[in-house]
Amino acid sequence: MFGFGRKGETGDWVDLKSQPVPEGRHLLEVDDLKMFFHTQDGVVKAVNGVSYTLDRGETLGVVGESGSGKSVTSLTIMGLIDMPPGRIEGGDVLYRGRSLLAMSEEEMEHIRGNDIAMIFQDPMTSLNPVYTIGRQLSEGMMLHLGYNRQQALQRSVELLRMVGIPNAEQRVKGYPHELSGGMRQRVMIAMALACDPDILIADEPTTALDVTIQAQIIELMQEMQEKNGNAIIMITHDLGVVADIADKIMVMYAGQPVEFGTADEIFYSPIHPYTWGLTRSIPDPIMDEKKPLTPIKGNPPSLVSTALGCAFAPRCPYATDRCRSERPPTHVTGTGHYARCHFAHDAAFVAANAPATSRTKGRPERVAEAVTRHAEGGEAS
Amino acid sequence: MLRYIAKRVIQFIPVFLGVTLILFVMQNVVPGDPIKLIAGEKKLDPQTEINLRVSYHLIETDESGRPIYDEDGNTIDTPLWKRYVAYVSGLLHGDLGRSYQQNGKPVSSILGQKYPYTFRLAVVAIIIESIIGIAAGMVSAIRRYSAWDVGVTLVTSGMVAMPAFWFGMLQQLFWGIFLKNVTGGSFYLPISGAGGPHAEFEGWVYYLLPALTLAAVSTAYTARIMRSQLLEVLNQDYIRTARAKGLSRRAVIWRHALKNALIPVVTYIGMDFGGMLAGAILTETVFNWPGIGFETYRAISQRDWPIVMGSVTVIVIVVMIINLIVDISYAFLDPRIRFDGSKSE
Repeated sequence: MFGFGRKGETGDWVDLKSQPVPEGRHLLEVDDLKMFFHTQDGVVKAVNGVSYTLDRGETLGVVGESGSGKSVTSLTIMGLIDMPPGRIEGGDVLYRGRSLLAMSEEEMEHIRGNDIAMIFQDPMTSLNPVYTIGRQLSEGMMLHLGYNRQQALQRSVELLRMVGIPNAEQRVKGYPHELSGGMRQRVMIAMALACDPDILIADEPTTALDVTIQAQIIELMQEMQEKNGNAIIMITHDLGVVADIADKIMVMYAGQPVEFGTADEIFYSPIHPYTWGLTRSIPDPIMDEKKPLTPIKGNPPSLVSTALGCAFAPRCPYATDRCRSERPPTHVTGTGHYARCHFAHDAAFVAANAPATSRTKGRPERVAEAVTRHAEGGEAS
Repeated sequence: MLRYIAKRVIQFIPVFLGVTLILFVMQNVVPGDPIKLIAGEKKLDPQTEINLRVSYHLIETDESGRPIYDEDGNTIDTPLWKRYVAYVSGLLHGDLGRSYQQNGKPVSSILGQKYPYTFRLAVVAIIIESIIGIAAGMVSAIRRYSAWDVGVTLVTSGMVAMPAFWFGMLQQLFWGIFLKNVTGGSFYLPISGAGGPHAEFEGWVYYLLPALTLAAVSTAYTARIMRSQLLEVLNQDYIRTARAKGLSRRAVIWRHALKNALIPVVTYIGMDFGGMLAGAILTETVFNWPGIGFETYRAISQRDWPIVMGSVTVIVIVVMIINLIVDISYAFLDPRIRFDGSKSE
């Protein structure tokens, strides 16, 4: 009953990350995943039909506003949602061809931290205040890699040095409260990477940090990815964060992916009105006259009473009666770029309404233009 | 750390002087002459009375201990402040004065005789409180909303609401009388006293009911604090981090949640231990427990002021020391707390 135990009973476990991805499979495949919460107020459809694939070395950006189901999706993949109240209502998650949803809790304990690791939003509260950093770093390695305390501590020092923490030998003996937020997030990254995972899920890793530190943390994650070849799922509400690092982007709204495509497709040829709204609300650092941002009017819908038609219809400036009454189909283009909109296939509609002020292919010229304008202005004064 | 302890010990002094001063003044403000109390119904001859007053330092004497008389041939009462100074300086020498009853026995030897009973009872009670309280709180939090949780919540609510003397009497009724009748006298527990060489039961049996009674209310509080703390800690982000590392639910609770949740519980138990060492007047009285609480109760009802003064003085010192130990133990449980402020930048 008072087991502090290592997982002796399942000693015959073979690390999935050491095995090849089966033919025709991806590293991670999420297929029409549905996670609903059964609460007293009704069924909350927090994740409603999310699909994507991910391969090693790739970065997927998951973008959406608060409550759009970004975090719940990844917590479902990790098996960290309490069930009940949560319940999987359909779909599957395949990791190297094996269903994570079908795995026992014990098997999932092997996956967590070892094959798939996670970094959380708030580094100030994500570390246990009463244990040393070294101890918290060691834990995963002792569990998954069979290190003893000495080896694990030694490796912890290396990891801390790797993520750029000065005085690593001293810091392993220190406590979380002795570090700043940025340093703690580095510790979190070191902890997540300790067992060399296949997939690193970062749930808004920079939201709680100030802007200069944000860039450092993103860079660090990229650097680590180049070194280890792991895949990254970057969850954020900030399109700017994923702009530079994501290969693929999934835009979520009300628990559903409304658009999915490569970063280029999402930024340069988006086809869903919600994505247009998001790109319109990115401030443009080049514009030198003050210009208000264009917000998306209205509030995100309640996930309990989902409307009959398109979830975005109440806030969509182009919504028709059809949008309000009929659920839009998923329109898939030849490249795998998809959107859930009745008009996504209508090239003329897209061309007429897609924002021109967002990042467009013409950006470099516009930058150059703005720079010369500034330079001329500078000379004149 | 040492500086902190020294500072706290220095802070003891004003608290100690304040408490003893208040008591000393109160004792002299309440009506009733101690010598008349000692005499009771008997009529004392004047010389004996003067001798008694001298022996309790109530009148002025010369160096050789003979009373000083004024022009009218009356004795001179020693002023209150002089007696207080004498009392405190006596304390520093371990002299707590003498009882007004019990043939004028020194207070220190009476308390020295009673205190071990109170101390042992407190230790047994605190063990019961820690084990049952923490375990019940943990079960309650981990199996939230289960039958266990509902049961623990109900029982603790009842126990918190029940006064110790009432709970004690109910136990006496049940274990001592009801069970004795039901089993025809073959099984029951002692309901009075602390045993002794000629007692009916082995010594430890006598601790059961008083300790259970003494621990009841605080066990309930401990369980409730433990439950709410553990629930709160289990919602913390670092618990999710630990789960994401691949630790099992059980390992997360034992390794990551427990230590954090215990910090306030240990504080409560520590403070409570201090309270118990101060003597449980109600419990000890109900069970005729020969401890300091019962003795204080007896002393108050018979106006045996030196005993009241002495036991309160001892209690103040013990409680202050326990509180200091509790405060110091924070630093070991919670690394964020440093007393000298030099270690955490």
